[in-house]
Amino acid sequence: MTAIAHAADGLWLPVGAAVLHVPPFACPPGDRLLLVPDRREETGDVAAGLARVLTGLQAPTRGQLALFGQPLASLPYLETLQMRTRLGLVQGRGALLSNRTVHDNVALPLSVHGGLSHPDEAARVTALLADLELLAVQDLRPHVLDDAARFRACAARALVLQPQWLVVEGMGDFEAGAQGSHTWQRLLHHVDAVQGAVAVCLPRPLAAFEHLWASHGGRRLVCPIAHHLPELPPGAA
Amino acid sequence: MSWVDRIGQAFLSLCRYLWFLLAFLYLSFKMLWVGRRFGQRDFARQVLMQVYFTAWQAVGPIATLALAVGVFAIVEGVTGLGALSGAENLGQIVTVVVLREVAPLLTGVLVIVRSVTAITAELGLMRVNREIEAMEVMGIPPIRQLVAPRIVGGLISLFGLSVVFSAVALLGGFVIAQLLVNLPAKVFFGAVLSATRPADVWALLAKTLFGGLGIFATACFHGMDVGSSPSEVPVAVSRASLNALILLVGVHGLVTVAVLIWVDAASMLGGLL
Repeated sequence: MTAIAHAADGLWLPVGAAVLHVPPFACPPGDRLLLVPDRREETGDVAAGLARVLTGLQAPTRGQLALFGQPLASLPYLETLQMRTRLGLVQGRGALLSNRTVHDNVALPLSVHGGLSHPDEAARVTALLADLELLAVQDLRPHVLDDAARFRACAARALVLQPQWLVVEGMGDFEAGAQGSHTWQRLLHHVDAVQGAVAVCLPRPLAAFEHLWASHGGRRLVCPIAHHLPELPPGAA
Repeated sequence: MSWVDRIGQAFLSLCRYLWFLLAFLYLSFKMLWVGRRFGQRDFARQVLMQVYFTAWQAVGPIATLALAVGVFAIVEGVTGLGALSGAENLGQIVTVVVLREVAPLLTGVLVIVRSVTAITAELGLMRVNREIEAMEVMGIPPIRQLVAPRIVGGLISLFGLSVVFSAVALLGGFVIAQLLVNLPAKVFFGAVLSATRPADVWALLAKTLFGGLGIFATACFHGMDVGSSPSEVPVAVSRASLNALILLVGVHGLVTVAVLIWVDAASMLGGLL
């Protein structure tokens, strides 16, 4: 079976003043992968960097990622955009479009790619918003929401096209605590329903979340942080 | 470094900047065509919003400014040139002042003050807040969804505002001409029509089109060029508005010179001399 995401030689990417190494991995459909740095990195945003590389927004310093069997580096721009309709990214700070309401943010990918009629589109968005407890705030602009609601809205936007490769960046600014735990319980319900593969990028080791992830059948990949990019072995490209 | 080197370096920088701007403009129009599959509904909505913000919300200030220009042109014409050229030439004065130069230039300046700054700041903040990155990852090309509608909507707005400016300035000029020298409408508007040549209309269109392309491409280019730091946004806004103003004046100068050469300077200025 073709892996949805595959990095045969692993990936290297810069995080602040350090370098993060993602060991080789392959994610078949149904895989649930948690990427955790081996220690807290003070100078860079590990989760954001990882998420950008895993969605093709940023090329790794070394290594190559293939999504749906196609190496990202060789794809022309328009084909990359087309391929991205099959993936979803939940950004840590919920980068929602500030000039649109929560409802319009979630509806945007559907209105561009969905090919649905307006009522069908509205019905699907409303169902998702209800499930993520966002109906009450659907007509508000993102800046008035709290971090957890913004994160859930970003998740709704990522899930609305039923992605085959879902990447979740960090845990939002709310992170641990009762509010974060509640949000994650609601999100994991949706993550479990994703038929493709899911990768969650943690900013640092978080034992409570890793335990929760394992209880949902997810696996864990520890990514070491190095100070420098290692020399390539002789003869390597 | 000698002053010759400095001038050469500045010239090369200007050429490079204009080249990037042209490439950006080309990319925007290319994405209009090749990105048709990325949804027309949202694109149309963005264009309409841009027209609403740039044109509809600016009708009041533009009309006020146009009225003032029309009135000043006539008052100056009556007090300054009236004795030399006769009251019947007031219509020609308004046409020369308003249609040929002031309407497209002042409209462009007002659009730069209101919309270029707003567009650059909005796109810059979207870049800082990773909203543009979010669009990329949703498979939505930001050039098509954010830049192209702003350029198209901006061009429509600039043209509409120039027409409003010209109409209000002519009407304001006529009202004042009536009050000051009791000029009949037939004489005033007859003079306006006889002074307006096809070349003036083409020049107005060219100034609006090329000036509009220049200022809205500049606004979007500097907005999209912002990196990840919020401190880059005010710098981008400042650069965009200044560069847009220089481009606008440059385009106006080039079109005016082209029209003067094309039509025959003597006949263009003949009405006044």
